[in-house]
Amino acid sequence: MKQESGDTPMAAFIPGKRKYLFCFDEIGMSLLEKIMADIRAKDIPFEIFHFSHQESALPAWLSSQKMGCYLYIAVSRKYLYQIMCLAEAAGFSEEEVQLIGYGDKEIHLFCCRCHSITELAAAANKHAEQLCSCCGLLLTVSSHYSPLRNAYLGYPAII
Amino acid sequence: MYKENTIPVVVKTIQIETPFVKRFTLTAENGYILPGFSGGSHITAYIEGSEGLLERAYSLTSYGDNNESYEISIHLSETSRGSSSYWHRHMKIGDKLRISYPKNYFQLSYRAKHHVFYAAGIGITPFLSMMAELCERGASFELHYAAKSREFCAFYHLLRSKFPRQCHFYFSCEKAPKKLTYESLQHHPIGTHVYFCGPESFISSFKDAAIALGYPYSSVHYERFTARSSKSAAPFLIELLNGETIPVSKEQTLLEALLEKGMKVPYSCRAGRCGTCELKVLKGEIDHYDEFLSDEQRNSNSVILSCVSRAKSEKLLLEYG
Amino acid sequence: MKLNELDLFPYPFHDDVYRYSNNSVLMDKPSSVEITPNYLEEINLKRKLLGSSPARCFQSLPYAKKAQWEVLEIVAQQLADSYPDKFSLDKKGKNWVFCNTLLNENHSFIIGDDSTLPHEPLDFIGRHVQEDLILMMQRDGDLYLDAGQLCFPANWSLAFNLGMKFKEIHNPIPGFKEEKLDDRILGFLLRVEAGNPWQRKNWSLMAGNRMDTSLETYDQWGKDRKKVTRENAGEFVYLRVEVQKILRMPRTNGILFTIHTYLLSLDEFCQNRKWLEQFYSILSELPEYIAEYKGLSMYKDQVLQYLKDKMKRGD
Ligand code: HEM
Ligand code: FES
Ligand SMILES: [Zn+2]
Repeated sequence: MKQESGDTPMAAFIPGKRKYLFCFDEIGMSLLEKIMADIRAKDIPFEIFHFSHQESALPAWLSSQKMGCYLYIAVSRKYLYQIMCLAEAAGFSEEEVQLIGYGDKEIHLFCCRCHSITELAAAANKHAEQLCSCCGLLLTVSSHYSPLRNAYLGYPAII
Repeated sequence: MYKENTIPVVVKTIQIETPFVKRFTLTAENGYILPGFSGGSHITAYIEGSEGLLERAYSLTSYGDNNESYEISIHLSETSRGSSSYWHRHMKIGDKLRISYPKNYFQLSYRAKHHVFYAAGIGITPFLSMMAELCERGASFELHYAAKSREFCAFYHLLRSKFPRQCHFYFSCEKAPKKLTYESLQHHPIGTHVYFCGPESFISSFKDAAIALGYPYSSVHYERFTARSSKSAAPFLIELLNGETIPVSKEQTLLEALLEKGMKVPYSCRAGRCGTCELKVLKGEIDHYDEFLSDEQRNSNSVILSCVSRAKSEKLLLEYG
Repeated sequence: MKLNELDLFPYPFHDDVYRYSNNSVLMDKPSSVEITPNYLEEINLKRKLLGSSPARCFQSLPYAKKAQWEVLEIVAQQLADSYPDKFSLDKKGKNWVFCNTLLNENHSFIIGDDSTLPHEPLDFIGRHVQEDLILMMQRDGDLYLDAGQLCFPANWSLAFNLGMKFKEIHNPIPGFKEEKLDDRILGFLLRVEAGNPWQRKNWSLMAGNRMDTSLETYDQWGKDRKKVTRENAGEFVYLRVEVQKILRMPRTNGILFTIHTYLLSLDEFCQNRKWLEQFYSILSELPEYIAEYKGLSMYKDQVLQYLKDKMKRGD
């Protein structure tokens, strides 16, 4: 499941599923409105889950679903990774989920020298050089991403 | 062409499993230890039949740390003039043959939360090792197995004793006939992977039903064994963009013919597997012999791996030169 | 660390032009590892690095244990089969004894029982071979880097790449994605079969003869590239060739990827006139994106001048 970065992506309708699942927070709801309206109009089964109201019930809701479902997750980028992991743990695969994140997201930078992770506040900083918060090496942020570390690789800025 | 390394083996035992299925155990000819294998693996068996070398794939039906022998189970096909009839009618204990190393193109999913196997008839064979591996892993699974009757149901007793809680049988010709339908596909929890094996019509109907319900392709697995025909090579012609025509003789590959003319076609393995020697074809029918292209690419008739594949038609027009 | 025997050096080119492609070939004689005259020197260095920088040199994910044991089995068995005067492997049921006479070591262990080994299985057997060992598990139709021992990397980080898919690993290589080379190579790897292993060679240039050019220490050794001149290139610049072997592991259906690194100074390399000439044409034609990725843009011109001088002198 890839995390979108940058601008808020549009949710795309994926046809041919027996049921659609929508998980969102306040703002995320508005990003899914159009698709939800379409699905209502077509009379296709769906379920919604309001993340801000019932967060702790999410794992159980996800696990109770059957094969053939398709899940949309539209939440603040702050929670996207965490919810994606919950969906994966429940058995959803990349092919069964669409992630729509909005807002700024922290970027994690992996220091090539000491392996520690530096959190960069906003996506805007992405292209600037950054100091490793642990060993102090000046790093350039690359586009090389590790899903396991949930981080981008930082190469030495000066050789 | 790709010629795989093989292991010489001897038939050690032959057992009757059902009126149409025999089980054969094979041991390494020189007392050698056989390679281990993962659930869903098969071997290719090479036997010298009356009509030349027969090459067939058979699932390994044993599993575990027994490195001394392999077991395969073969169904006598009614129309068979080839392999299965040879195995059933001619193969004796002590006979020698060569087999490939184990291969697995029907591997168990790692991420699945639950595995469901659907078998019809001899399609049960790959599932035996897969279920054994899942038992070892402590993973959750179930089997739905259709056969004519108990008598014609290969491994019926073994399955009932080894996996009593997971097996569901569907006998179509018994007193209270039960039919295996794809209705149950509706009830599998999220994270389930389904596996189909049996006759072509069985596989495609279950596969289509799962996809129609919205199953993602990556959660639907199936295995078909198609025998590759080994035809003898014929000469053909190629035409290049610059108008030049080059003959490819019977003894030569297309790649060799081009290299001989001083053309720098990139290549590496010369075995139809690495994909480096691919060329675009504009006209003419291709006879594919590679192990690299997808079915889609093959059917498009627009790319050829020049180190092994040839022309079905008299001439191929290449986008090259 | 340099190899004296020109004869042993795995010459990596087969054409006057170099581009990225799947240059894998079937191995004539199947093997996963090879012993060279540098054995003791390189093993000592490996063990030193594993001791001082364990996180840099060994990584594994918990579910890769069974496959790690298979790596041990394959490599130990092959050492015993290929070098019976140097190694032996005695199997009595689950009780195995592995002897390495080059190091004068005997190890008894119970196959599958982690507690009977001093290190994790792949880490253990990796300490007996010159190769770096990478375990790619096949899971759900893709290959993942789920364990590895890497002491002599060509500027990449095992710790960062742990758990990555094949295509994610190759993301930094220019043109790979655009030309779908990553798709094609993955398709090829998924069809590699047990008993029929493959091999390929990769090359680059290095300023200095360090084997351990890890990304973790790049800020130190990377500087040396500024010191290359036309005059010192012959002894200071090394051609670095990795012989990579690709084997399917039948029991766990993963891929074992072994990397044997060879270094040869340009002076020695150029003793072979054909090599000198072919390498000169490759380097002078090499597209900038490849030179940049291989890290030799900074001193490519100096090396070219050096090679030119050599060719003139030889006439
Ligand atoms: C299956 C095991 C393999 C692993 C674990 C592996 C790993 C790697 C890694 C870690 C890099 C360095 C990437 C970076 O800069 O961060 C690399 C580079 C590369 N790999 Fe692979 N690789 C594998 C197989 C292959 C195969 C089969 C090919 C076939 C062509 C290939 C072609 C390349 C090429 C062309 C480069 C760039 C090297 C250079 O320009 O110096 N790799 N690989
Ligand atoms: S050269 Fe490898 S497929 Fe033709
Ligand atoms: Zn740091």
